[in-house]
Amino acid sequence: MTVLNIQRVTKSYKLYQKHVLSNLDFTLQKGEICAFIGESGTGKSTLLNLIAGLEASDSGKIIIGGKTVDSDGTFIAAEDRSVGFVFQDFALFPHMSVKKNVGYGLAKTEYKTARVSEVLRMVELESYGDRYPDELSGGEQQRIALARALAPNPKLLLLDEPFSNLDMALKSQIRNELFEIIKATGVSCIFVTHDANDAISLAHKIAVLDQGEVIQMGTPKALFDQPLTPGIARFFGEINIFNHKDFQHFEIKLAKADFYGIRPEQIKYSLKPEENSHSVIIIKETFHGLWRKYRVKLSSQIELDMIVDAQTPIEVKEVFITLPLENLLAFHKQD
Amino acid sequence: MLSSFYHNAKIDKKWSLLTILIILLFGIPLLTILLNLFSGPGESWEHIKEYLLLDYLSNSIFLMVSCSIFTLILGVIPAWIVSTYSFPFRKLLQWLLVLPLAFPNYLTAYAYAGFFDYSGIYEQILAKFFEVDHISHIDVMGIWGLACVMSFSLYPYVYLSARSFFINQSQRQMSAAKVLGAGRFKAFYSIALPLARPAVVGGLLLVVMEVLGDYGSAYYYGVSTYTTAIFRSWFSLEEPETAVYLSAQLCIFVLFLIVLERGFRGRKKYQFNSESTYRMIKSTSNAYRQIMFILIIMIPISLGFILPLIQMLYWASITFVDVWSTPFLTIVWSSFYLSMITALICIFISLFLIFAAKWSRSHVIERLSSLPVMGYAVPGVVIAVGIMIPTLTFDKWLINMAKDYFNYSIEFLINGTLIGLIFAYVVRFFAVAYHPIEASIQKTGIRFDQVAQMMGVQKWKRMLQINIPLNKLGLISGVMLVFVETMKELPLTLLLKPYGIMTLSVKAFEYASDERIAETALPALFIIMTGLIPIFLLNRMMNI
Amino acid sequence: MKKYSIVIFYLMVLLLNSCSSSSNKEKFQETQQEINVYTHRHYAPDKELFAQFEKELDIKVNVVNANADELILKMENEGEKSPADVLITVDAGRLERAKEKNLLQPINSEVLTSNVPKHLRDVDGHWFGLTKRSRVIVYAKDRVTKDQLSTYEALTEDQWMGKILIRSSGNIYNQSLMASMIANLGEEVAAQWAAGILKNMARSPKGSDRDQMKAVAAGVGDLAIVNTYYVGKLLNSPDSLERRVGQQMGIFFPNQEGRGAHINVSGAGVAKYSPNKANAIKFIEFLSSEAAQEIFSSSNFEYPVNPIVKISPLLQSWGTFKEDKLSLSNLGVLNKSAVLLFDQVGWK
Repeated sequence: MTVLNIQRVTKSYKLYQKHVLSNLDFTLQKGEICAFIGESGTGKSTLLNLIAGLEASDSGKIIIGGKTVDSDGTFIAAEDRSVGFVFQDFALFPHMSVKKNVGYGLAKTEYKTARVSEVLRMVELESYGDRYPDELSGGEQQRIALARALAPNPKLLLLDEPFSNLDMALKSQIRNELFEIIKATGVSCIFVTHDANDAISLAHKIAVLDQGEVIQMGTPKALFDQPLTPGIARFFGEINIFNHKDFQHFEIKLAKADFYGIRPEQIKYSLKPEENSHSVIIIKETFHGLWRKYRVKLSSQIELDMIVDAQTPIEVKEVFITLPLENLLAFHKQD
Repeated sequence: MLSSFYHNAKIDKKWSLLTILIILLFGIPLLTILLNLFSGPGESWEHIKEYLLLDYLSNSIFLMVSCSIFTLILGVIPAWIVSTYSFPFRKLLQWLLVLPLAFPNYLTAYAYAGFFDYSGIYEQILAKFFEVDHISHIDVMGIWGLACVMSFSLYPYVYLSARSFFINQSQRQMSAAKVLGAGRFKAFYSIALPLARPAVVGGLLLVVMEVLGDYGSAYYYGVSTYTTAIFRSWFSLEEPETAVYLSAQLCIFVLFLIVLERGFRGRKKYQFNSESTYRMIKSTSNAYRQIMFILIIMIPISLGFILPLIQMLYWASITFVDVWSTPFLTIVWSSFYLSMITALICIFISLFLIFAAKWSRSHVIERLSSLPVMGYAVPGVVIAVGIMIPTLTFDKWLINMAKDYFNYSIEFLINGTLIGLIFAYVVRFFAVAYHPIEASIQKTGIRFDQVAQMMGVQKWKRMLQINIPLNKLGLISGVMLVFVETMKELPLTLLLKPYGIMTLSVKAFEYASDERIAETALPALFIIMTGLIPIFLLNRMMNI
Repeated sequence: MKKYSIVIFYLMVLLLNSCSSSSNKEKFQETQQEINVYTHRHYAPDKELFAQFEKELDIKVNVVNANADELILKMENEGEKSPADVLITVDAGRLERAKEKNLLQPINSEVLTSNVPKHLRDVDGHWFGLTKRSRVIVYAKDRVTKDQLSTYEALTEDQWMGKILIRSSGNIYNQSLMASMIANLGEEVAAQWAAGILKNMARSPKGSDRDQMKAVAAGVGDLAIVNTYYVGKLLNSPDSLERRVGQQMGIFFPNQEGRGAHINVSGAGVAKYSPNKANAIKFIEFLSSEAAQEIFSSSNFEYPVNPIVKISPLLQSWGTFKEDKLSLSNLGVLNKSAVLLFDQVGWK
């Protein structure tokens, strides 16, 4: 069942005259978790605001749960869309206790108290009901913000950069806990992030936004394995990119493409020449704990990065590298 | 354009129309005046242009510039000190700094003229304690004196906006600056000051508007300003159309200033993470510095409050019996409730306009919604007339209707009633409430409103439970400022007040226009005292 | 939403109720006789006098206090519906202006014509002077002698260079003085006179009449042009310093050999659309009566217009003087020319 359907949505701010979103199409199925990734300024937050109803589109159509909420002739206000939103800064009401914060969107019925403790239990903060937001840690605040957004049983949950305000040390733990909760509720969810790791580990599918358009969408694996552009590839980790001419030096027969790429950890090396290997000189070594990174240079002056296991430092100046055919990525210029 | 507005489903029509309705209501007096821009000035316009205008204009510009500079110095420095450092009496001093607001600036001007008068307090003290034979007379009654005296009573506008900014400013930026090795002073001018610019410019705008609208002080000090031209062409040259024409030009100029201020704020909507906006840690400084701080802060307090107060107390002591004999407390009470009602209506409408503009989802409406602040730039008399002309027409129409159709005789509904007077006050002082509230909302952000909106909470509930509590400080400073302004207001009250209602400012004016300046002291002291109550309350709130 | 709209509705009803109840109260008072007085005068003895009138004739007096210009404007705007019955100003020029604007009506009252001398009232009976004052020269007794002074015109002589103090041209008393100059001597001479005074000024004009005298006392200049009653006010000031200033001033009535010293009146007229015309006439008659005149004029150290009323001892001490018999209507008619001339010569 489709929860969200966005058809050819365009949005621009008159002041800037540039389309923030142009002719964007997007669909989300029930229970799906989708991540929007992209550089800042690519319209991710605007898209969330449009879905939420905090802003109105210029043209196009947004349908939530089968109901048109934003089109040329209709606009349903945010408060009537039953969409949950967790903001980047959490925005817990500072003058209300946790209980009141969470229950704020619920009508005053007997159900309210029950629901508040239910969602608090869900985020494992049942005993925090009488505290105030300034007495909570960052992670706790976030869980309360989530609980608050989930309390009215939204059809769709939106999270704007949910982890940018958290400590790195806690981040992965909190991230996983948070999405355990979300997955447990089965709510459809869209979150915006600039960190591909978040997207890969949490989302069912990822949409990459660039200049107001979805340039690629698919499962995390699909995106990781077959990124459409070098830019997308870079999102998911370091990569060596060569243009067509430079790539000729490797003498690898591959379908013609504009760019080729290989991730540093996929480059194989040996101390002696092997079949199809290339001699390189190590320029620089950096130590990263579990691994080491080497900057190497081919005789044709082309430089590339290579990542190897930290246990076995390379003690010679010259090594031989092979680029495994199956790991090579090919990119075509986008129009 | 109208039809595209009507057919655009994205714009919330209910809120847009309500907003437009309120703007129009405010616009009545201003439009009455601005429309005269097209009908042109009267025949004495040439005369004014030839003999008066250049002189008047240059005086006004001089006053605007010099008062801006003086109030900046007198306002921002103490604001920074009290919100950054800890030293003895800090709380008392930051409260005292606001007190000049309780003085109508024409009374401060009278007080200074009296203080430095021939054989006034100043010369007596010099003669008595220093046995100076020939006392060099200080003549405050000139344009420099006027600029100083007005700044002394107006600097709290800048101080208040700067302080509320500094107190609530983000810890992060300041910490960042400190980590980068910036001293407190460098952090002040390189971080705090630029960030505080929108707030400070807002305060300055109030100062400039006040300077432009002043008539009493300038008249008494013999300085002809642009407003003098309005009064002169109206009353001396008997050409209201020229006066209204001049007022219209003044309005346009102020509109220009407002646009300029907007530009100043620019797109920079500094959003502060609500979680990290707690007070800055006060560093304990050494005794020498503490004394220095106290002395610096005492300068504006003495100039704006203590000195004029001494003069007023002296005058009150010699005139007390005479003035007290009149039914004084009734006058105090009517001033008090008039001001309170005005203040409450002002903040109600400010809140409404700010949020309705956002809820309307129309950029045009949002732009328009701040238009009513223009009322503050128009001299009270002009507003009074701008209200009198259309409402009289309305009242007469109403009376005729009642007579013709219901055979029922009624009185004027708006003119010469409390409704008319309060309406005029609200038009005049709306900006005073709007600015602190808008600044507060800009600082808290509309994030909380959006969160609540996302939780499916309707507007009224959001207003009462989220937006009002979260912007409490801004609202209270709005109430306080309007209250004090209304207490002090004079020309508008004179023209529109109903029978039997007497306010303190009118009473003080009666004495002053009778050249019994000393007798103004008692009503003046009461204006000051009633003004102190809300200032005191506000301060309690801000210190929590 | 519904709940709040009910609350708001309730508040509105409350507000309207309170408004209408206050107007009910006014209506209740209507059954009593009343008059509405628009006055520029605001002296405590005036109020006592009004109270006395209320008591004697059982007519309630409602007072609106404001600047005469603003009162005239108010009446103009209110038009036929104006509640004003009587307009009192402190200057004949303003009364004349009100007449020109068709805001007053002619009154035919024998009491008034006998109580108020002819040149102190409007020819058509639109307004009547009630108290009079003269704009005179005051001088520092220690520096100037009476025989150095003669006329207003003589003040333009070079011997007074840097010696004269007078307030700004925005002041109505100066405008009326100038108007009388124009009426008596013509525009050209009047303009020369103003330029001559400007040349002799000790400082640029500012402050009140009292301030001019204080400046004379402090030695800024030697002469000031002020209204007589301000000397009286200084002499009776609660401030001992002001009293001392008053004592240092000598009063000189100029132009005694010629047309006489410039005088002006504060006076009253019946509003054109007066709802209580009969009472309004009674009120003005009352103010011109012998009993009232004494209080009305002495409240402000002015001279009574009613010739049979005795003047106060203080005023007697200044001596009698010849007054300019110019019809005061001229002050209103020529007011605008006066202002224009002031601006042209640069008198601020």
